[in-house]
Amino acid sequence: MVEAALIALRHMFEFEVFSMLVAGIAVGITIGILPGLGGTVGMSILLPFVWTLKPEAALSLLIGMVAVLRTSDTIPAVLFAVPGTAGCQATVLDGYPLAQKGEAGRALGAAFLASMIGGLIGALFLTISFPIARPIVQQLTSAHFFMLCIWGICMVGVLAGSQPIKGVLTGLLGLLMAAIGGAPSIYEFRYTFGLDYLEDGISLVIVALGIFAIPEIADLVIRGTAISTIPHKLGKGIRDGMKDTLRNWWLVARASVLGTFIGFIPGLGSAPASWIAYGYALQSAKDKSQFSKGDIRGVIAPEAANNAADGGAIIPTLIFGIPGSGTMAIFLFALMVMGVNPGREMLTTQLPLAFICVWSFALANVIAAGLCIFLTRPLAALTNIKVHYWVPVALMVIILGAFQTSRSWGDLILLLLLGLLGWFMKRAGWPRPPVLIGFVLGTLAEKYFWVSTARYGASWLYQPGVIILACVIVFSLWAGLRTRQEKKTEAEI
Amino acid sequence: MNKLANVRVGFALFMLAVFAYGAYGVKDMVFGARIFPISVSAPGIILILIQLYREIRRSLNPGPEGTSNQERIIDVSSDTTSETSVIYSRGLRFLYWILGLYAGIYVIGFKLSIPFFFVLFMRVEGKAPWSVIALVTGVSLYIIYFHFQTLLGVYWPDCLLQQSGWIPIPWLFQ
Repeated sequence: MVEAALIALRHMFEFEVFSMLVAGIAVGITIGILPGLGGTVGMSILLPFVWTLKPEAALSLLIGMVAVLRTSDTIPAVLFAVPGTAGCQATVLDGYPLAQKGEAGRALGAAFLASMIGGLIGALFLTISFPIARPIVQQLTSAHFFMLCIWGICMVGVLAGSQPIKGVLTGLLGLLMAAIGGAPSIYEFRYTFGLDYLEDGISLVIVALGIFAIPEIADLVIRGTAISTIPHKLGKGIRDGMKDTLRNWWLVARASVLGTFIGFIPGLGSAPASWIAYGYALQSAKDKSQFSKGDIRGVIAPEAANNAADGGAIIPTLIFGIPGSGTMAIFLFALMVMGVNPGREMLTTQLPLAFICVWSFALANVIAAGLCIFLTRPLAALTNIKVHYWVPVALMVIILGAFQTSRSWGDLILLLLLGLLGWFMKRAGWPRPPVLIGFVLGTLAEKYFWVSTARYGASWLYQPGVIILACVIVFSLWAGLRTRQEKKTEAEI
Repeated sequence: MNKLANVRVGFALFMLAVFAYGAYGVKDMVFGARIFPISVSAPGIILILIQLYREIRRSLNPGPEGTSNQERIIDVSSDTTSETSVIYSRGLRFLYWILGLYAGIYVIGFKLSIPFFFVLFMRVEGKAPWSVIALVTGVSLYIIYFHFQTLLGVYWPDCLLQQSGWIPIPWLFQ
């Protein structure tokens, strides 16, 4: 284990790997600042370019991008009350009032340091999970992995907001899209409409770029203005804010651990983590009077939790191959494209690659916090740039990225059609992340289903592990729906 | 029924058609090829019928135009403050821009159509000053040639102009 960690660390300081980490950080910071473009869009834009890189460099690029989104997304949240991503909505509650009091610098300083510590704690838990999970994963069979895929899809569907049916339906849509092309083990082509292009199935790159990136770009163009038209007032006190974080170290530690565990559960992620951490900070505070009026603890807790949640979300993806979000679904796909199978292989023969993820996550958090502290002013100015100035650049990268998939005009046509589908899904209020998760897990689920049936016949259904996982799925569905019902009843009262 | 309700019902009908085709499209295939799509489509049809009923019921008791009836989904939400007709007309306009760019790529190639697109889009849609247009276009062309082409070795779509050989394309844009 230690040897693998050291091999990974040595790889991290190779020029190609480290420069890709820096590139990922740069992309992540930019995407975090621009509201509407989340981790899924960032990941889908980077995905086509990882094929030309060696696995260590590609993982650094992707993890570097994911790790720092929650650090830079605080800048528009504090300065303009516009959260850069859903993961920092809770930060607005106290961050913006602090900015209105002329203490934006203090809020940002506290947030950046809390984000960094949260990220490092997330990386620590990721490391601890490897030796714990290794003996468990080595006992799992294809039937268990099939059940884990089903669990992932159900959880994401149920937790996809106030409309669980829509969540499950879009997850099923993703599964159906994964069925396009050749069936596994049998010479049959499904849903190809006689087109050669569809015989190999459709690529996740096109699905992610079409369903996520194009609708976000379109909505920004439709809105037509800069993200913020208000000139930013940073004020002083970044150092004071960092001291506030260190003074509240126990809150940072608790919020980070909470965030890691919430991030670990498929379907939750950084947005619920930051809200729950905010609620926890509020409940545990002796003096609650300043919360939502500009209490620094209301910035520190969600910021620590949302970075830690991203570390937690990587654990089920690497260890069980179960992505908890659209971003992690693309990451899982990237791993498979690189020929790296999550699960047993990741914890044995490919362990140095797992540690590349850990080191990239930790280093990216440290570098991003430093960059954000020194570059807050120019980074905040990005939100004042008119969308029409940078949309052509984003569109160019998306189209070029999509074309790399199979170098066919079919890629570009499908990109446009899926872009329309994604935009209408957004307009009609249908959640899109389950489509990606269903799409990635669909291929895996069908493969595991066939391997299980070929190896065990129907008897795999009676394996104790399968029955336990079936009970976990039923319990998770019941608990998810019950929690929702309780919230609905509370809201009605 | 307001326009947003129309979109919701329309989208639910589209999903119904997708799941129905999901089951119908594999009906003549061997068991091994059809079991997975049927297992996905069957619950899909049942659930979408329930959702369709809810959407129709909701559209008959609509809230004000553009409201979401307290619905919350884990996704980036759309702009619900602007007039629906304005959103659709701007959306359609953006679609035309993308189609125009595609046409340009098909006829004159990616590397030649990108600078044209940048200049036209920023000037017409963004009313950008020429200095900004020159800067953004210049930086983008630098990224295309030195990062995408030289470092990453990406592939470019073929174009009619190049295939036909009617007009010689400067080496930089080939």
